[in-house]
Amino acid sequence: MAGIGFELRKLLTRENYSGLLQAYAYAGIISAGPWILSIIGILLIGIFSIGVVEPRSLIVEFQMSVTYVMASSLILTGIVQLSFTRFIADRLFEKKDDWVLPNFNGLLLTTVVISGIIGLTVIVLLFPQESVIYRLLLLSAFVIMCATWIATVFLSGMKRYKAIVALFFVGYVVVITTALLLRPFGLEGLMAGFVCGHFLLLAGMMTLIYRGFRSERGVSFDLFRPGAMFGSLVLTGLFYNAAIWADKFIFWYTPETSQNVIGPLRASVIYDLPIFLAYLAIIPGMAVFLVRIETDFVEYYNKFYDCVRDGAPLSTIEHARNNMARAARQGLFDITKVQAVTVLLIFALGEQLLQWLGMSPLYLPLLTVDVVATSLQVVLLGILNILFYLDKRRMVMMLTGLFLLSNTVFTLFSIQLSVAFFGYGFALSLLLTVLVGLWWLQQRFDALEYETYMLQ
Amino acid sequence: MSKGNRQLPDTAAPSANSETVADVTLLLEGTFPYVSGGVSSWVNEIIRGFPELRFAVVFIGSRPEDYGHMKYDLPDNVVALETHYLFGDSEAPPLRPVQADHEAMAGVCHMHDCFRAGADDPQNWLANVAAECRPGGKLDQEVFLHSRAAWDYISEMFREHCTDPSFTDYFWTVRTIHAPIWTLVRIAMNCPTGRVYHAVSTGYAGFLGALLKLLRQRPLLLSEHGIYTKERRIDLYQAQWIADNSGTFERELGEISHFRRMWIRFFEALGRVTYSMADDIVALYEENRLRQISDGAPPERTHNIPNGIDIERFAPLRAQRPQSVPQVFCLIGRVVPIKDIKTFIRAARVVISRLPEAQAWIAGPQEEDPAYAEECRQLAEGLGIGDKVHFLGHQQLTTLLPKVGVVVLSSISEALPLVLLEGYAAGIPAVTTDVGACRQLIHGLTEEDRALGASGHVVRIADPQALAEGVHHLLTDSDTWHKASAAASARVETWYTQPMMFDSYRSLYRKLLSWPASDSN
Amino acid sequence: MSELINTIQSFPNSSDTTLLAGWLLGSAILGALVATATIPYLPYRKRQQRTLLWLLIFFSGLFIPLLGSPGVALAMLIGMRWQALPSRDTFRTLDRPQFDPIGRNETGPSARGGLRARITQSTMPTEQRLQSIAALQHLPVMAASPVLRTLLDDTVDDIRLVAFGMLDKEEKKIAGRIHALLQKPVPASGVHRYLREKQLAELYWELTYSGLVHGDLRRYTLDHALSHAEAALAINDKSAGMHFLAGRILNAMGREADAEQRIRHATALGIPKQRTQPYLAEFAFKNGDYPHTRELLTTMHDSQLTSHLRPVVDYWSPQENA
Repeated sequence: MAGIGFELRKLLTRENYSGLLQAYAYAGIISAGPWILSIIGILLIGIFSIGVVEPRSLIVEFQMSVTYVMASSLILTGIVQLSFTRFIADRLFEKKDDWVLPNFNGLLLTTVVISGIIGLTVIVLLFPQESVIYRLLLLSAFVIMCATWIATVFLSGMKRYKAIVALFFVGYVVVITTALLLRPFGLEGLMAGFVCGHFLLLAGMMTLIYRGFRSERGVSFDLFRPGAMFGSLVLTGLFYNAAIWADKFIFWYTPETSQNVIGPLRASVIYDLPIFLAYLAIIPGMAVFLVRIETDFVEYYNKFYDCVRDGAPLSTIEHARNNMARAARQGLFDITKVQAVTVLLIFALGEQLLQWLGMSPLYLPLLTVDVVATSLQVVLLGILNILFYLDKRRMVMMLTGLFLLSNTVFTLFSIQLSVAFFGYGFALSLLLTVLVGLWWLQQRFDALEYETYMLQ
Repeated sequence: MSKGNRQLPDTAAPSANSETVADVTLLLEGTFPYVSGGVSSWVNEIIRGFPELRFAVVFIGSRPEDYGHMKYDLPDNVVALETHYLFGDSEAPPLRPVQADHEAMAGVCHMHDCFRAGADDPQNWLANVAAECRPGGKLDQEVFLHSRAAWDYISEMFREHCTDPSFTDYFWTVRTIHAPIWTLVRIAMNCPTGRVYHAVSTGYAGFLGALLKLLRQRPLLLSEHGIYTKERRIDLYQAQWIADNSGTFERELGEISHFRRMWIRFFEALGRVTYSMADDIVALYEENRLRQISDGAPPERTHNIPNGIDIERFAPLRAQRPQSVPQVFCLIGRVVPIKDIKTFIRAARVVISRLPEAQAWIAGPQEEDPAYAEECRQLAEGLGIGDKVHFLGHQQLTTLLPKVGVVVLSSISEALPLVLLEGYAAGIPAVTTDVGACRQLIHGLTEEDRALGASGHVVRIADPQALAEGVHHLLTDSDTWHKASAAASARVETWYTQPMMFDSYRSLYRKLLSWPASDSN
Repeated sequence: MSELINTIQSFPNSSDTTLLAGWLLGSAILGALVATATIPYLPYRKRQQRTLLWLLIFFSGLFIPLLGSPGVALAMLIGMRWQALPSRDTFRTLDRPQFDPIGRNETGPSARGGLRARITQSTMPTEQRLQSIAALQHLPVMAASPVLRTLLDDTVDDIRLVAFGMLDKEEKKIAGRIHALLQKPVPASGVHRYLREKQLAELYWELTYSGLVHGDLRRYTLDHALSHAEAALAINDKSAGMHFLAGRILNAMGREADAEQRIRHATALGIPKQRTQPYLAEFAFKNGDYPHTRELLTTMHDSQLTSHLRPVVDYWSPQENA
């Protein structure tokens, strides 16, 4: 008989919600967490070396070398961190587990070669005055750190947070012990300690990864095929890491606020210490962030998409949406609360703290601003994370772009003003980014079902 | 979404085809020339029966992959063939929300209220659709698919009307149901111009005809073989893919899936629009004509024109048959669920148990529903008659019929099946299920017709025992067989010949070709 | 490598640069040696894969002097040889189902009751009848199929079609399972062969028991059911359930004497009397042995009975107050 054969089944059962994709990408951003541990480690080495390593400027040289290695390796690997985690998450979602290991190796090989070439060029061209051992250690440290970030991102994509923290802890115990043992060799000794500990950390992570995944292929480069990486994630990773360091670099390379340390490396005595201390103050916020977002929010997030997938009534979907929005709001609010307490504590006890650390109380105003700023940074992490879950990659890219741009502009501007305004550039930039992010987040939640159904 | 096969570019500007290219533009849904079957053969006959007229053919299908190559050679008087698919691949959504016109959305509300209330004014509604749903109109497809206003409307409708709990299923049902409207408006704007538009079903093809009549101001003729809405209903009742998500606790006893009702309502609305726009509405037999009227066709525009066949082609076959009745009973038709091939196979089991030398043949293409064809083969195997049931595929009737003793039809729904008439012309009696016009074909319609005697047996649907007994009776009782054979030949020669059918259509075409469409309404 | 050395040597600070180049050369040699030594022990055989892994160890050694190549090689050897594959998806946690009150209050309690009457009553509006038919889905097939069969020659097309669709669906379900079983190769072990025959006998029996086949086809199906039941019993003669099934099949075929014998045997093997006695009572009744019928049914008086059986038992049991 006449009529179109009723072959519409496929049309209806076709999975149309890209929301199915668990956006694991946030894990990359979280992985920036371990570097708090490194700040503590470096500070400790510095404190213990006082009096043993002479002259004292060697300690500063060591600390700045390590800081530059951290910054440059984070910015360089930032390009691939997020897109790599997303790539791996997508493959796991497709049950292509055997794609995971070869692409990790492929990326690792690429990273080692590229960072090695960059590092080699830098030590040959920019550090001609330094000792060969120092230059080789600097090269090693840079290559090791780049590889470590790749491995960290990979493991956090697998949600192996505990393993990461444990390995970092062991690594830093080794860093500190070796550095202290080798103190008599001065700068090279401290650097050698750093390299040994970090290399152990890297090797441990690699062992863990090789144990956990198997594949027919040892190394492959599917990740670099056209279309395999999301451009927005590449830019997001780059923007975010560059933004975090933008104000620091500006202070380092503004002649009025900085002084030469070693080779081309410069430091800003006024700016550096408070900001690194301030990063220690975000630990409570990070803890709340992980708990709130990873458990509460994710639970409601899953419920919402289950409702969409399994066919719930609209009212139930909306209810789930509201719960999810509430969990997100609650999570962000809790981060804010705990960070507010931290800020108040710094207000109250900052002076004693500085005294205890043997620092001038003149640092206090800057420390306070920096603690506010780093607290805002945790909130920003939360917002970015939620937006990643909602798969709003473009929005995250724009937010991190805004962060980079405003941090650069505001910091440059604050330097022009006076010492009293140092740190405000960074803080205001984060405030702006967080406010814009909150506003967008609210809009996304209001239109969530509409966008889930009509625009995907 | 569409591609022109012959001569005409498909996505030309609306005015590109304003020149008349054909006398009759046939609007065909899922039939000629890509699918073989009763309706397709009928279309083929009509085109060949009027060599003096130029025909254009507009084929509407679901998806390209559902159809193979052409099953019929195009007659020389077909001047254009266009092929369109309603359910192609969807495009990627836009990055930004689409803005909807407020008035247009009010129009949508009205349009849906019409659907729901039973469409008091289908013509006006159609005019709105034709004006607003075209690309760039206030109700562009983009607006429907991606605008916030459309979203608000859909979610409000769900809250107000949907009794199924699944919003996701509701949403996709709404989308899938409505998407073809925009495609059809686009097709109508670019379609080859004809002096008469002839739709061979309601549904999407009929809706296209209604749009064409409105846009081109030329008359619309509607021939319905089966009743489209009824056939869709059958599909829908049997479709497994339509979700029914109410849990056992939540469903009142006897609730029919909301989504089935949505589909049925939609097809009914398409039918009403087509009936209201058609100048002449042709049914194959009286029951269907009455059904059309009850579905909204204005009685004064309805006619009955039964199918007619080329007696000269089949009459000589009577002489080719061996003296004794061939112990072969044959089902001629596509291997699809609506033909209920399984009941035929079960009946074959019963017949063969009693008459081991008998053979059961199934002559018809199997590619339309391969899964069902496979089930049928499994059933024959499972009943231990795999060697007696022959799946012959598509067959030339003139070589097949002389070897057949009884033509069997086990369908659960039919109109006025051509295969029975063709069998009759070759002098073969039939056993059929009591569907469509089958009773009238076996026992006769008028007093005079009935006097010719029974040309076989009519049994109820899905009753293999009764079907088998009918077949067994005819195959074994030579006397009855010869009487039935004579009645069959006489019946088809008296009431169902091609010249009679062509004469009726000739007068309809003549009237419509000369009439301005506006006068007829 | 030599190019690199040359390039490095061309820098002015020669003593320092030479030393650096020497270190790098040493690292390169060490890296190459370690990589070459390690590769044979890794679980990869393809040449391209080996080359790439070799490069990974080599470059780690080049850019991380001394530590790099042995460390990475060790990580690979340990990790790849002591695999600890995480088990994915062994368990899935499910959420508690939520009761959804939507659509509850659509129709009142008046819509219930008299299902069969509503369905077969042709004066009812078709739409309502259709809805009632859909409700038959919730009944056992055995109860629904007679009603559906009467609807097959209803005057309303839609009703006929829905009834047909529902019967067809049930039949297809069982036929599909039979076909799937028959497709599998006959298992070698007796236990599995027994299970296969048992399942086939039960499925064929279900077709007839549910009223999905009639006439000659019913006989044909019963023959199949019986032959599979016999085949199962040939493997395991001690199965009470199988004997009981065979008895019921024989009864359905009209071979009452054989059926009675089987059912008695099944009772002896342990089928509860409660299930077999109604059959035995029926046989006694058909043989005209009314006292025995009464005797059998009376013993059942105090047991839990279906609503079908209760009046029969009550009728045959001696009146207690008499």
